[in-house]
Amino acid sequence: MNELSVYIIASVIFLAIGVYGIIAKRNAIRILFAIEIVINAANLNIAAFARYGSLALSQAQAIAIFVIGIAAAEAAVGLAIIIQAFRLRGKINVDEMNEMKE
Amino acid sequence: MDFIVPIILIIFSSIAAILSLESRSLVYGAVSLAIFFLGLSLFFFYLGLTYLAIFQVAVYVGAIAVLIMFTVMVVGEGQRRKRSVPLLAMGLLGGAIILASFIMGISYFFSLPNPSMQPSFTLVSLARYVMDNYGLILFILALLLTSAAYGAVALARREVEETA
Repeated sequence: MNELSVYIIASVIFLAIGVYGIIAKRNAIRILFAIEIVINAANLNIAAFARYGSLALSQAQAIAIFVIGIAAAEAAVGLAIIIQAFRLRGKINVDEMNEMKE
Repeated sequence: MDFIVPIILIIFSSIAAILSLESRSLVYGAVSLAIFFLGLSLFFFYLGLTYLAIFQVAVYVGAIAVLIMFTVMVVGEGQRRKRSVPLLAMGLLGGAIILASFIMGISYFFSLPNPSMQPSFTLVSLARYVMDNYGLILFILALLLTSAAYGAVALARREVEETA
């Protein structure tokens, strides 16, 4: 087992934890936590391939910084949606947000 | 092959990630998520991607984790408990550890030899690389962040109630 595989395994562990959170949790903030964990797993993969793979360090850092920027935007909009949903319904349980089905 | 540090970091970050999803209180979950982000930045430090680690701490721990905690407080899902002495002591101890590590880190960086010893990759070169190769993407990202901030404010602002 080489060192790259250790980081890929770590990334897969974080991805699995994140996917579990997205599927199993019903609280919207917990789901946002899980999405952030998944995004960070992707960033760890990029960093590992930069260190041990063929990706250049500068290129990897640039890509990861873009990912962090997009994740920041996603978190800001997601939290604003959660606040708005809480204001409208008093709860942030995604099971109860089904108005668009009708 | 040195696997000890990555494995310790994997265990540390995995526990923090699981706690962020499974803790009973959302406030503790948000704190665990911040610790997970910190663990990822340690991964980046260990891999030699120093600037990415600094960005990770600045954006995720400094901005997103605090924003999430603020939202948790606003939504009111956190458990309000009476201030207990053990929790206060733990908080003070954690704060002291963070402060000590911060001081040690700063003193370490100041004790390093002249940065010109490593001219191959600096923050300036990273910025130049990004501007030269990813200028358009950077511009689009800036627009995206601006529109996201505007959208977040528009979504979260309190609507003026119409009076009959």
